[in-house]
Parts: sequence; structure tokens; C-alpha cells
Amino acid sequence: MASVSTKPPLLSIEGLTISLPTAEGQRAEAVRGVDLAIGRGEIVGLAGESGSGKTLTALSVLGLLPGGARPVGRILFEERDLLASGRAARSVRGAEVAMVFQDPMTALHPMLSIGRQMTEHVRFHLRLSQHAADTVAVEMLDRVRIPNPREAMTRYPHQFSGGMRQRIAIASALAAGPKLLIADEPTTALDVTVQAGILRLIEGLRRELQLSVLLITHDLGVMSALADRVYVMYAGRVVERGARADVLAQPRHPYTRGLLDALPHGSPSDHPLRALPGSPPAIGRFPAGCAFHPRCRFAEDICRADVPDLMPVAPGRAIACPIDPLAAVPA
Amino acid sequence: MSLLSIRDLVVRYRGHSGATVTAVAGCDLDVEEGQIVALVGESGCGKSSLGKAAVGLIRPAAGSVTFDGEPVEPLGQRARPAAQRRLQMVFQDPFSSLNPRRRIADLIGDGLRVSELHGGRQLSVGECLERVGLSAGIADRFPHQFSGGQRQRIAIARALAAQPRCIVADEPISALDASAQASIANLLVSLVDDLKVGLLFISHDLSIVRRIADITTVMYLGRVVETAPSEPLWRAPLHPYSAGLIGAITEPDGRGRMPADLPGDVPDPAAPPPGCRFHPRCPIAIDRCSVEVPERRLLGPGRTAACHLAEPVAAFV
Repeated sequence: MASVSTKPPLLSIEGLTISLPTAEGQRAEAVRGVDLAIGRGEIVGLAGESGSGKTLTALSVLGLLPGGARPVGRILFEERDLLASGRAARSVRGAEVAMVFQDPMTALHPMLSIGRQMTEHVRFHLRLSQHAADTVAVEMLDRVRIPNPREAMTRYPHQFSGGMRQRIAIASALAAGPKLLIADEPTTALDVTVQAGILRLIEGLRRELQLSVLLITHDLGVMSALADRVYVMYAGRVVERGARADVLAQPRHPYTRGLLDALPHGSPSDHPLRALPGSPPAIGRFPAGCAFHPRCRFAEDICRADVPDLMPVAPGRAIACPIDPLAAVPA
Repeated sequence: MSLLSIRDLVVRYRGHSGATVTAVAGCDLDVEEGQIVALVGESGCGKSSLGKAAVGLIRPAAGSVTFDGEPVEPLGQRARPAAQRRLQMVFQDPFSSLNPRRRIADLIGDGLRVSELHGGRQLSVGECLERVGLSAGIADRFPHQFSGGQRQRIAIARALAAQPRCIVADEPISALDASAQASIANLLVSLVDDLKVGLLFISHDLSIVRRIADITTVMYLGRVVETAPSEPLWRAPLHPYSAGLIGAITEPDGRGRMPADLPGDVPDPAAPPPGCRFHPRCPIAIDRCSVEVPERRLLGPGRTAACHLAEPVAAFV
């Protein structure tokens, strides 16, 4: 929940900046000074449009950044700095931190049986025999509600539907008993009915296993169903963070408000959907000052000149907007 | 007769090892001038097959498609008959529907050449671009210079160049970011209002459909299960599948409400369940549902549903 905990968080990202090589031989910062913390058993959502840096932030936790990407800052997992030590990153990856992707077919090898791909990392990380690893995998498949899990172990990914594959990918990610699951758009490729099942599954696993989840999605409806706290990213920076109910029902940053206004929720009325003007900027072309200013209807001179800091405005709540035009405006 | 009228449409594909899959198993659908009709359902329900058959991109196994009083012939090697050129399609992915080697002016020029054949005043490339909210000055640029939302506008401008009377759009916004989705949805609504074209809007996104569609048609495993004006369908769906779809939608209201789970997967269309195709997943199914195929019944003004248990709406006899 959003309560302030005295215990150190499970994961703490501090001042993370990630630069990427550009086509012109320069470097461009894609993630710029991100701070993010996840407590035990907490589901933290990371929202933003394509190119906002949310996926790069997540990949850096696993040490899976694309070649040429250079991360700077600290990523503390149970107080071990994963950026400082390659050994720490390797021992954590797949064992204590696991990931599920948007398309389960990128996580599942099409030519390996479910059993084979679910036990390989379990045997490696937990040093189990094949027999013991099989038992763990069958238990996990059963937990994610795959029918006949023992028989499913002998089948191949193409023999399952998209929703079942995502359940299997989640079971595989959780088989080695990680403390943190990173879920990158886990339901974006699925139908709403299947999505509902996966969201309920993730919520159930959090409760039963005290699992922490970093949920990356551009879908604020999914965010609203699952996340305890929400971070909103734009052009590589966190622009708003706070408890789910605060950020989604009372957005304070104009970008968060714009994202919510563009969604067709609530009952229809005669006025059209309120689209945000323009498109998110590409990496390497982030505008100066507040990167959102060219699309912001409240922008003033200060927004074009200075990069706004993420400032606390209430307990657990922070926004990066110097003029805070929505402070007293009901959503 | 409606502008676009589909009757008893059946679409079959030959699957693996000679098995036949019936993707559309007898569907009726009408689109009138100046009307947005949405076709919704889970992936694999046959909505895209129906859309392709509606514009003649695939040959139906049975049934008829009529546009403007003339039967729509499946496209072959030869050019599309002139009468059908005012029926246009917009595809999901504007990254693959626009030839990357051709300039915007040439892409739109194709549509303009089509409109020459049905006479009347021709639009210019610039007019087509401005109609979709782009500047006429981009005509000599290439598709890769534009974002997804802008490309979808270009694809719509190309369809408009042919001066269509009806547009079939298959998931035209689902490949786009949320803010681009809203602006493309607004654009489609304004085109339908201003130009009085009919729009068949195929989508899996019910919340956008509720906002823009006049009529919503729900498909499940090759069959239409419910058709109704969008607002009453949303408020009080008559078919349990429509109710399941609506209940599964998440709301970004920050309340933390979990969407309702509709258990099970869409069955294999090569071996559909007997009786009502939805009965294995239906929370209220009775014995009759597994035996007898439900007929579509008129249950309210403009409302039909194919469910043995659906009741007529109040005050409708």
C-alpha cells in the first residue's frame, strides 16, 4: 500500500541515467535521473508513452540493456548495487528478479517443451535435480491455472492460446522463486477477457507469495486495477508519482491529466475525446526545459527555460511542474 | 436497402491437414449513410474476416455482400468494378499499409485516379491532406518521416481521395499511442458527420466503440450474438457474452477495481461447441444451450440478441 514504510525497499533505483549511441555517433540520454522504489509485496506501476524510457529503466534492473547503452546511478536490490557489480547482477537475474514480456512468444522458445524451458533456470539457480525441478514447475503451472499441468509440461508453446502462453511465461518467471517480477505490458497483446484473468492472477500471486511487481504499461486502466503506486514518465524523466488513487483520480501534472483525458472512459457525451496535441519526442530530440512544454496548454516561459525538479507536494506524492496548474482543479 | 448490406455471410479457410475452419458462420450486418457501426469481439471471432469479405478482399463461401445496391465481387486479377470503388478500406497498421518507397502525393494520387472514374469534381492531394488535419506541404515527403498517428491520417486521406461512400476500417487505432488513438477516433467521427460516409469500425476496444459508434455488433466465434445502439448495449447488454466483454474492461479511475474474469478461452473455430457456441464459457447456461442453436431475436428497438435466455427489454413487445 501507499503507507510510508520504515523498512528499506526491496528495490531502490537512485539517479538512474541511461545514454544510448545515436546514428550520428553521439550519445543521447534516454533515461534522465530516475528515482524509483518498490517495497516488499508492493505493485508499482510505471506509465508513459512509447519512448518515455519506462522499458529501459526496467531492463537496467536485469542488466539486459541493449548493446551500447550506458547506465549511470545506483540500482540497489536488497542493498546490493546491481550496476556496480556484474556478479551481483548475474546472481539476481532470473533468480531473484524475473521478467515477463508483452508477447509471451518472445519469452518462450518455440522448439522446447514447456517442461524443458521451465526447469532449466530452476535447476541452475536452485541447484535442483531434474526430478525436483519438474515438481516445482508442475506446482507453478498449477498455481497459474494451467489445466493438467503434468501433461502441459510435455507440450510446446504453439499448442496453447495467447492467454495460456502468458500464464506459462509467468509460471516460468516465478519458478525460481523471485522476489521481484518485472511485467512489461503483460496484457497489451491480449483480449480484455484474457487480460482480466492475467490481472487477477498477478494480484493473487502478490498476495500469496508476497511478490513485488514492477508493472510497466501505457494502459492506465490496467494501472488502476493493479498498481498500489504509480510513476508517470515522459521523455526519460519521472514527471509524477503517488498513490494510485491520487495520481489517476486527481492528476497534478498536465501530462498525466492529458493522458487520462485522451481515454474514452466514463459515459459518452457530445464533446469529442480530448487528444493531447503533438507526439512524444524521440530520444535525442527531447525539448529543452520541461520536455513536455511544447504539448502543454499551461506552459509559461519558465517551462521553456528550466528543467523542473520532481518536488514533493504531499506525503508520497511528487510532481515535476513548477507552475502546478492543476493543484486545486478537480479531475 | 442499406448502403452496405451483408446477409448470411460465411467465410471458410482451409486449415492444417485439410481441415476446414469456418471463420464467419452466417452473419448479417448493415451500415447506413452517415452511420458508424462497430464490430467487436475477441481475436479469432471472425470480425476481420467479415471486414475483408465486405470489401471483396476474400471470397465468401456463401451469403451476399451488397454495396449501394450492387453485389460486391471478390477481387481477382482485374481492376475493381467502378461501382465498388466508393467502398474503401483502412487497415490496422499504417507502417505496412503505406509503401515506404512512394511519396505521400503518389500514395494519395492512387485514390484520386480512382475518383476520376466516377466523375464529379476531383479533390487535390492538398485538400485530402488538409481534410485529415495534415498540411498540404508534406506531399513530397515519405511515410517514414511521420509518426504512427500521422501515418494513419495519411492512410485515411488516401481512402478519402477516392471519394468513398463507405469505409471499412479494421482496427484503425489499435496500433497507436493513447493520445493518437483519441485524435484518429475524433477524425473518423468528423468525417462521418461531414461527408455522410458509412463506417464499419472493426475494433476489440469496447471503450472507444462506446464513445464513437452509433450501432455496436458483437461477434463470438463466427456468429453475431448481439446488435444494438451502443449506449443501451453498454448499459444493459442482453447477451451474456456482451456482458462478459463489458465487465472485463478496466477503468482508469484509480479505484483499484479488478475487471470481471470471463473464464476459459475462445474455442477452436475448427471444432465449435454444439448448440450456442458460447455455452461452455457462459455463466448462466442451461441444458438447452448445449443442444439448440439460439436464433437472433428482436428484443428491443434496433436490438437483437442470439440467446435462449435473453428477455425483451422493458416496454418492448
